[in-house]
Amino acid sequence: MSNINNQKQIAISVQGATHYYKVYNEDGTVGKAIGIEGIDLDIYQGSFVALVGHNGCGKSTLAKHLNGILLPAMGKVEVFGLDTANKANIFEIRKQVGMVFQNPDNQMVASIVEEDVAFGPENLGIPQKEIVERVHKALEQVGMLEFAKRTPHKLSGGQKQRIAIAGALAIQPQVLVLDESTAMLDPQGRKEVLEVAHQLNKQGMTVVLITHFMEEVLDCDHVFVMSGGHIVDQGTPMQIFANSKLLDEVGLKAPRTVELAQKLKNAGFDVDDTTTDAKILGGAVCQNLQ
Amino acid sequence: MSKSPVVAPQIDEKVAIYANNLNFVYNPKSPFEKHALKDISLSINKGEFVAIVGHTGSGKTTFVQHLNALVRHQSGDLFVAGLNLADKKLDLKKLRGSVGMVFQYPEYQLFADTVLEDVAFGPRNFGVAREDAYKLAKNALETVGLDFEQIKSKSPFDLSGGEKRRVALAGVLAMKPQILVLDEPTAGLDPQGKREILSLVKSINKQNDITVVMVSHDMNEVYENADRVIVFRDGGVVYDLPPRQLFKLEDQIVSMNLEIPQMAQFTNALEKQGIVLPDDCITVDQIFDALCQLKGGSNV
Repeated sequence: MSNINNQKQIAISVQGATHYYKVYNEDGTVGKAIGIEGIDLDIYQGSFVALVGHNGCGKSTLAKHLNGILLPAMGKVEVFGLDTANKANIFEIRKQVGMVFQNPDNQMVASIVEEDVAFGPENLGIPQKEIVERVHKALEQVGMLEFAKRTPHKLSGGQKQRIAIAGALAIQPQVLVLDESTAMLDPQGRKEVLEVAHQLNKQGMTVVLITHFMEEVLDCDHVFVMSGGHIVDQGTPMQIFANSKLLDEVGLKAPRTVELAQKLKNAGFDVDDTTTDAKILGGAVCQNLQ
Repeated sequence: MSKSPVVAPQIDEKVAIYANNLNFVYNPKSPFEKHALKDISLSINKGEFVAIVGHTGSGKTTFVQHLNALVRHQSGDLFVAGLNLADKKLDLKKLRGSVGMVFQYPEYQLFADTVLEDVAFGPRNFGVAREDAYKLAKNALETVGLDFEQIKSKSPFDLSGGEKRRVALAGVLAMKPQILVLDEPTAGLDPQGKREILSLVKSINKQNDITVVMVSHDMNEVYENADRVIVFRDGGVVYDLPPRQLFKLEDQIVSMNLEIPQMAQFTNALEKQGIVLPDDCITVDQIFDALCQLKGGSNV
């Protein structure tokens, strides 16, 4: 799966996708608000990409286009070459692109963990024996196998999200979209979910992480910055952080350590302005001062 | 330690919250018994900005729910806004008018047809006449930085996430509380929204002299905003220190599964090499300025 030839293959291609929402004005007329407008992007197979932006920038609208929950009014979205606008493709597209949302409590459908994870493959009409195998494997991948017989409601937020990820994995998708899946979790839960996402990525899964925690994008391959329904910047995390003026304009902020490193470098300190480790930066500053 | 008397004489005018050997047990004498608070003793002065931190399940929510008697006092002393919570005839109305509680995701609690009605609901519920309640609502909406004329007739459900949260906060402020208790006020907001809410809470604290108790998981924001940090663990208070002092205890903090703020890691690393920055160097900008001064000095 993760051989080098596949790395360059495009998993999802978004071409000029535009989506408007209806707005009901006070005078009774119906207008439209931009969800996303003219979005062009390619997500390569096996990559780990992040979509960042402030609340309401269109990142969740874009995410919902990636498996055909929303369809573009103009432009096109292709998943492994399949057009999401073609109804005949939707079933296959949803099998290829698994999605996990923000609120863990809204995504649990069964009262036992393993039944919850089995919900997806059951819907696909997969034979019982294979469902059991898939559920076992999915729970193993997210490190929740020992909770298989428990009730999801008593788990922590991070554990619930890992169950939700397992539910997506049981469908055996090639792409996993995490739509602000860490936003409602405590730091421990966030760490758990991100670790699982990175581990899956190492095994060949394409991961699309939607977030506004800039600390979370540090280990991504490629970052898209969104504002007002458009992509306003893209690059490696460090290229994004370097453009602090733009980040400020779109209501985001580089992690504090990166911000300090950049300021120090600009003021003539001999420090690495791509460092994300506060301790290393501290050591470097000491050498400057001694 | 001597057992404190029923009416604690040490509570003077300056104290907003005082707890001594406060204990709480969920489902006592049942198989589900859980000792959630164990001998909590602490004191918070009027006008202070105190952060309460701790891992999920450490007892911090149970404690803050005591402050306006959502969870009823069981044993030990607890005085809040001059009221004795152990008093059987506790004036709940007075207490809840004095302690404003902002829960997690408060925007989910908006319900009225218009922003004005929603914010005025609290005072109206406490028997304030309609016109006066509207005045209180107007004040509160202006305090949270919203344009009253523009927003008053809108449906709270048509607002953006950040606006909704401000309206919810205004609904609590309209009650004119002396103490504001916030449970993770910035959860789910983007960086800009976080900064706005925090600077708002800070200015309410400083300008309106309202005591703030904030529960938070974000150690960076705790570090930059709180006067004092109280750390809960397994139902007990393990540390009660100013943020700069607290986050020097790196090993202990990490062992409790809490994070060290990035700028604390940085100043701690400098201190290990013998470079000590002044105590008021907390934010990126403050640290940057101090370092530039140091460097300038060494070059001369």
